[in-house]
Amino acid sequence: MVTYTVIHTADAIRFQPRSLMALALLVLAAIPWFMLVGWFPALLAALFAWLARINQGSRPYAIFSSVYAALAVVLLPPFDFPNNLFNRLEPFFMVLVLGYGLGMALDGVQDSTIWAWLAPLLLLLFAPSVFGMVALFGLAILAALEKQQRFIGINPYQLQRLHLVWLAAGTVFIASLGLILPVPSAFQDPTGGTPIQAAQPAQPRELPKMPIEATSGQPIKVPNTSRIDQTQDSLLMASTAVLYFFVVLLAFFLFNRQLEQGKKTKNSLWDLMPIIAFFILATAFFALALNAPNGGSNPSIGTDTPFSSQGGQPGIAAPEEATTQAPPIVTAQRTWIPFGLAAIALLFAYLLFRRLGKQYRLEPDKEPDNVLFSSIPSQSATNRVRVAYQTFLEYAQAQGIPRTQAETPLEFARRYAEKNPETQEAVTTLTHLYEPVRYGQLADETHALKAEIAAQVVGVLRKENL
Amino acid sequence: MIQEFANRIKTNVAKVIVGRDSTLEITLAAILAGGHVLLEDVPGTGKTMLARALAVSLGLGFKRVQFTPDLLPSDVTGVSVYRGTGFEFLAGPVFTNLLLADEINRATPKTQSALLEAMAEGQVSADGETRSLPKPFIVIATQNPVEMDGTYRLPEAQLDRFLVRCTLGYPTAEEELEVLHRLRGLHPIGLLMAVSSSEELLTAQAKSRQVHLEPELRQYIVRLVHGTRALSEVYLGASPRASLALQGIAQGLASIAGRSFVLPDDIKRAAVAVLSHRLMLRAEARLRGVTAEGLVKELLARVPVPVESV
Repeated sequence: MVTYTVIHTADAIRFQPRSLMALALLVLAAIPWFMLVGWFPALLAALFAWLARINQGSRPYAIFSSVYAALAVVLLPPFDFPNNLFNRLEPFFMVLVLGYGLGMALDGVQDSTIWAWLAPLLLLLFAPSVFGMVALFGLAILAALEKQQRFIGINPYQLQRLHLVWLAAGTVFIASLGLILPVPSAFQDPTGGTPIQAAQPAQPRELPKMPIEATSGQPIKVPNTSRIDQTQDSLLMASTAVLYFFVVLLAFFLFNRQLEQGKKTKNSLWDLMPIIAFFILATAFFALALNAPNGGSNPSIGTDTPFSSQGGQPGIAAPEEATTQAPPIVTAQRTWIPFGLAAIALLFAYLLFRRLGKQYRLEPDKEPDNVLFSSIPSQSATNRVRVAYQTFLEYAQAQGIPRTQAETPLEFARRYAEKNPETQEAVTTLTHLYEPVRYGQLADETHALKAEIAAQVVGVLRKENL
Repeated sequence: MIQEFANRIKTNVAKVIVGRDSTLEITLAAILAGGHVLLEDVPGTGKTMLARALAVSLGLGFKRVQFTPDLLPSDVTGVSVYRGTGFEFLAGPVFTNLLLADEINRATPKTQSALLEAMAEGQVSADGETRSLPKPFIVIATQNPVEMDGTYRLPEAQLDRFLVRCTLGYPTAEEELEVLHRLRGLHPIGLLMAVSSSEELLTAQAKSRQVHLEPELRQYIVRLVHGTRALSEVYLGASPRASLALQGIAQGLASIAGRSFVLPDDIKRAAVAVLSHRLMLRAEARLRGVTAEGLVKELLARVPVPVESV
């Protein structure tokens, strides 16, 4: 295995300058770990993450990387940054990479490098120093650049469907942050104090510094900040999820409109808006949660709030009971709004997805005389031909004759026609119509109509054979 | 236009060469890409005849050098002789449009290397002076497989300068019968006429370079070439020159087919001819019976082609 690794390393050094940059950044990230106990697995994790990256997301390497990163995480405690600014920025980096990883996992783009980025993600979560943060941020940028190229390169129809996935996933993700709101307080205390260990059981908090005039023994009125925080968090989560939901929805409809008008044949940077919105909103949410009066409310920590609700009037606390009594917190109040939204988003995404299926996919179940006139003149000719060909590939796959990844359209057409001789003419026609569109950027309305008819004929013939 | 040009050449060459359409098309595509061709096969399969027929059909200035073990570099590039008033350079056979280097692997590596500069730069440096070769300049070399006696393996650098290596293979029984029928009298090569000119070829070369190559197909080419470098059976993979060659040949094949764009099939079709002679196999792989052609075919069956995904 050592030889194998060395060979690949040498190969990457010779031919992949960007990989060298990634390696340098990962080494930079690993430097601080050398000073701590878990440096060895961390170093291996970084090395394997890099190897996975340069090998187009090679899963064996990435799995090694993830395992070592997990070991490093177990062995190493979180680090207390000397500079408070980095404590505040940490969630931003986390969200950036976490969001990227999530997108990678969901988008279904071929050659996804999710595994390759899992290790940096884990390292980032427990990055021990400023060096690590900077280095991993660099990695995230590299990844984002790579990702952007992939998005730009894919079929606009695929991207349109991805928008829906992002719509649902993003809303669910933001809403789910409600459950892990203790996370911000598991980082560092933003005021620069000692780190709070997330894994430890909730500790009683000290009373907030307040002007106390209770020396006379009279009960004093104390603002119920605990409840205020809960309301703030709920509103924050709900507003973030709502905002995200509508931003993505807007992007989707704009995108869809352009497609229908035939204006969109290629993707652009603007099509990445949902992802950008996701990063911004999720980051803002985290940052705001961190800066909340109690560093973000927490159901478990909430039970330790010093404000008693037992007896007396609500919001009035007896100072002597403050550190020992804890009121029950109704967590349902703070979570139902975003989760409700998430459910609506999922439902909405499903309905849109179905609508897309009806609008842009040819339906083999229809009667032939209806099917032949189901073309969509409003779409661009290029897209129509590509969709027609994609439909054919789906027919073939459903029939148990999937195209292999190294097959050219012509090779696949020959193989398919061998098994389905009656479709030979239609398949050959469709392939010959598809090739100039896909590889020559040539298409017109007649071209598109012919391709659609050919795809439908293949579908009808296939149906007759079944 | 290029398709019609190619058809003319193919029809004319077919008067002499029976079958071999695929090899002829690859060779023509290489010429359109401005490259040099290495024809490799056992003796008697028609390598020299194909080269001669092409040279005549293209209507180019043509010279032939029979490579032998005692051939000197100056026999190829030229030599300066003293004429009383001073030295005069006598241009060698390399100063032509189409040079047929027959049985190139029978000459020593030193003489073989004399062609390096000419093939790569289109010029010859001799006696401290650089002289340009006429355009177009094409080398069609033939060689017998290295296993044959009395041959020298071509240097890697020179192999890399051949855009493609083609093999003709033995003809089928029907083709061989047709050969017997055609050659029962005079050899038709003597009757062959030029059907093109150097100007027409230069125009066709320029047009061929304009054939559209989708960026994703360019990535496909790079993936293939990079793939050869990662093969454990080779110690030297294909060079970046191979990527350029694959691109040029694919454009040539597309233009011969009358298309204004390249298909992945063009790249696949050219891959073995372009890549196999550039792969240096490890000794243990050769002993196992692995061939460069086989490795390239395996690679072609593995590297994803850009098509709509399902």
